[in-house]
Amino acid sequence: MRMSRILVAEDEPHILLLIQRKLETAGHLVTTATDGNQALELALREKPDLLLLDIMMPGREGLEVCREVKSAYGDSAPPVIIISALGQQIDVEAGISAGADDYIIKPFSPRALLERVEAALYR
Amino acid sequence: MDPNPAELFPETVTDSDLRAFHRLVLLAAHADAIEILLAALADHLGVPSLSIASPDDPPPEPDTVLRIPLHYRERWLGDLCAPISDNQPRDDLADRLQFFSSAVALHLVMSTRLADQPGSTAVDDATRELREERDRLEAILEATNDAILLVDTHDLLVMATPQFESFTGISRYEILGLSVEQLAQRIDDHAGLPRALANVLRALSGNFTESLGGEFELVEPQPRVLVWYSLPVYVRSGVLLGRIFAFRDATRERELDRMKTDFISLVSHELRTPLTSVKGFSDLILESNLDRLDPDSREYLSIISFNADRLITLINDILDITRIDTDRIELKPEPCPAADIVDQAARALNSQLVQRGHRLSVDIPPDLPLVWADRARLVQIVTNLLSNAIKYTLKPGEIVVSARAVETPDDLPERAPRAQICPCVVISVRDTGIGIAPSHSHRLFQRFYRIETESSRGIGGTGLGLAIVKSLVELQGGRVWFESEPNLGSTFSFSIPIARNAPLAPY
Repeated sequence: MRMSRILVAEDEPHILLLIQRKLETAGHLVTTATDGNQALELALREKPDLLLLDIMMPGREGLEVCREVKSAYGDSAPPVIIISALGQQIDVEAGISAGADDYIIKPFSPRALLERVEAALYR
Repeated sequence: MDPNPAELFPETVTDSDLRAFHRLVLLAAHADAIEILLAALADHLGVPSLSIASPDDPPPEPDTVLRIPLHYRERWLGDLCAPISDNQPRDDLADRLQFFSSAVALHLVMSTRLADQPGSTAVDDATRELREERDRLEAILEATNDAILLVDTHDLLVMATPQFESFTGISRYEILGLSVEQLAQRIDDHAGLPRALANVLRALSGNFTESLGGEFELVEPQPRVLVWYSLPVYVRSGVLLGRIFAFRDATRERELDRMKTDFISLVSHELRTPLTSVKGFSDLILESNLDRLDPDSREYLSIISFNADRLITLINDILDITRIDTDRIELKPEPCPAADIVDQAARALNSQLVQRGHRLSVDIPPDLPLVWADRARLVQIVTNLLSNAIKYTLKPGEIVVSARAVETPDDLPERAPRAQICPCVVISVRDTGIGIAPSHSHRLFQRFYRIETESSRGIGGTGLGLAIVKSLVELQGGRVWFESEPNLGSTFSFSIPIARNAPLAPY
């Protein structure tokens, strides 16, 4: 398993830390952002291997960041996983139609999160 | 009560005159101001205006004004006056005015209390009593907050309370005596009034059997939610009086409902964030540092994680109930194999099954037809029933999930409700648990209902699970029922229509 560069955008510091620790323990390199604008800037500058985006963030919503990243990189766009407390079918569909590759509903188990991240990375 | 003026004036009176006369009699009996009556009559006759000249007024100028005397019994009340114009034959107008004069006289009698005067006769007494009875009934109706319309058996609007005017902005004197279709047309002409109101009136026009109800929203004259119901009205003798429409202002109620729903959604959503941390960090320690934890710490962390799961289930249940209550639950039916659904539910609950020492067996024939249901919600239904079976079977026991196809209602199990969509698949979850006494059966599927007995004490739960199961099953065209023997076990079953009868998916 190789080390991947993962950008995590989440405005809740504890949840951000939780995701960061789980991914780092598994050997990944994590960059963090706490608002949507920062996330988009980092994503466009550094082109991470994968993005984990919260939906409701200050600045820019996660879905908008997802759309921008997908259109900026076109076919070579990195996979995007949305993590949100919005858990209805309609929310998941909105995420998928924004171009997201997967959708994780809060609360989540850290192990399941890691499994989904790696599935998206090595797909 | 029903005047028949056609017999009096058979040659000149038209159908339209008869309807107008009917309307004038209604206005005479209900409208306070004579101007309303005169305006309606002038409109019908196509004259610019009408007035009443009292007996004390100066004598007529025969060339400009037509005067028709009005009488109540032997007494001259005054004259009904119409301006004479060149484009209307004088004799024809006089005939028609004569025809309508009794309705105008009726209003004068009703409003000037002529019948109250000294030396009254039996007819005067009867007139007075009728008027007083009418005043009493109107006072009662006008004091209620609801708008009430009464349509008679000829489909004419014979009563409208002032609340109708304040709800819709349409004057009740403008619509009294109109046909239901004409009233619906007036409503259509008002841009701010909903089509639904006119449609309701039209749909029930001429129908004197059904009782219906519903609600709609008004934009003008002010935003309101109106709840309505309508039913045929009979007098005590069994004679059909017509149909009543009642409208109640439910704006405030709906606002409170919405506030409650929004509040619950907000709170539930806000609870998820801290729970993600509680659950996530305890799992993180359990997942990554297992070998470095002493047994006590490991047990305590497991308890934290388990209870975080319980809270998450509770929040999800409350959100589901809220969505069910507000019709915001979204179902995406598709053909589903029951075996997959049961398998998915069983896997989710596997650790609980193992922990409690229960044995789970699944009995599903391989040729079972597909069911037509929302897959995730179907898994939720089975998971809820299975989770109850696990919870309420205290000693290690046996849980059986079975499914079978039912072609006709005659093939349904004995305890199943007969009114069912068939063919369907019946899925049952049987346990060897504490069972349910028959006395609880009628309330078992009510929300927040929990049975408190010696044996069930200490089993966690909110009493929402079965209420959600019932709603989810019924929303998908099925029914749910159970049979139980205290101390021996329970079987919960539900039906779900099979996919071969299902409508084509909309996408």
